[in-house]
Amino acid sequence: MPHYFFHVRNRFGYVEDEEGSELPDLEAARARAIDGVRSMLSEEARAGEIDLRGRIEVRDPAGALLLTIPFAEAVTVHTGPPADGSKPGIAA
Amino acid sequence: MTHSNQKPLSLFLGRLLRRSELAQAERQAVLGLKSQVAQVRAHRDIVLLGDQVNSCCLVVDGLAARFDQLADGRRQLTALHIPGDICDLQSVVAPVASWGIEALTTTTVLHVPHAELKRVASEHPGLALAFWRDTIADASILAKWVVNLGRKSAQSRIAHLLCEMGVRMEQAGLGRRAAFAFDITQNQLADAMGLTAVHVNRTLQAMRGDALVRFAGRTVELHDWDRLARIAEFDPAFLQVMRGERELVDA
Repeated sequence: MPHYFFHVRNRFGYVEDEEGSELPDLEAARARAIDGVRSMLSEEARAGEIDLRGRIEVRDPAGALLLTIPFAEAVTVHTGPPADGSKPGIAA
Repeated sequence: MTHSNQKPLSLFLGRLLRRSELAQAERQAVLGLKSQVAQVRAHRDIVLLGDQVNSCCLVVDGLAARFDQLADGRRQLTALHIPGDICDLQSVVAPVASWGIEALTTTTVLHVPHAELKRVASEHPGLALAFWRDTIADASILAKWVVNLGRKSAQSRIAHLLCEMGVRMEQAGLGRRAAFAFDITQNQLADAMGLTAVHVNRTLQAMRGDALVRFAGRTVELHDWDRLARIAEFDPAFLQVMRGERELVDA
């Protein structure tokens, strides 16, 4: 299986992934990156401050950039007036 | 064929003696357990979920984990086992595995037949109590993991695991709490901590930048134990080691 490295750049700086992960293909790497972003943002949400300005760079073992996932693309954010209270559940 | 494997069994005896006082005959019975040694490559499963097992798995060298698995293949590790631990002593009385056991790194294990453990437990009631206490220690560690995963930040969770492993390795005579062998990948650490590898990596690098922890090859170094223990809210009482040893832990 190919080896992918997931480097994170955000307001805390550049976090290099020295170990990487073996995954079946680039789509699996994309899913892994998105899951990683959501994991970090969920903790930021609990701390009360979310910064969507970071990104994950997915690179191959030679260092070539394969994918960039901006944090903002990993989540859908709904803002604006409150959702209609008559509709049950979470606003879609 | 099964053989007597005194040296690895002495590691398990050491673990028992940290929680139970045992007479000479009881100690000899543990060292005389018939068992079979096996080498397991990294990332290989030793016990699969749902397996019916007829022997216990004693870690001689390396690092093993108990795990559960979701339908999409994702795993949650529920315990880490170091040399001297039996990963599944409870299987003697509950042989259908509602857990899996995986070698996290190249690992040597001893398979100790349930029949042997039942025999020594019936011949020596003191050993039966010691086995009971041993499984309770694992349950206590598991309960602490629930609290960590349910209530703590990524940094506090990882800090607690590092403190736990440091103290356990020190108790087992396998290192110092502030510097010990810990051959685990980011992905495995993520599976243990209910996080993702990306999140673990970012958190570890922040801790490294904060001079709390350093991974040097297969060794982890904890530079500021007291600060790490405060971040983790670490109190070694949950490891359930006897008073004499606990004084050593608290020293």
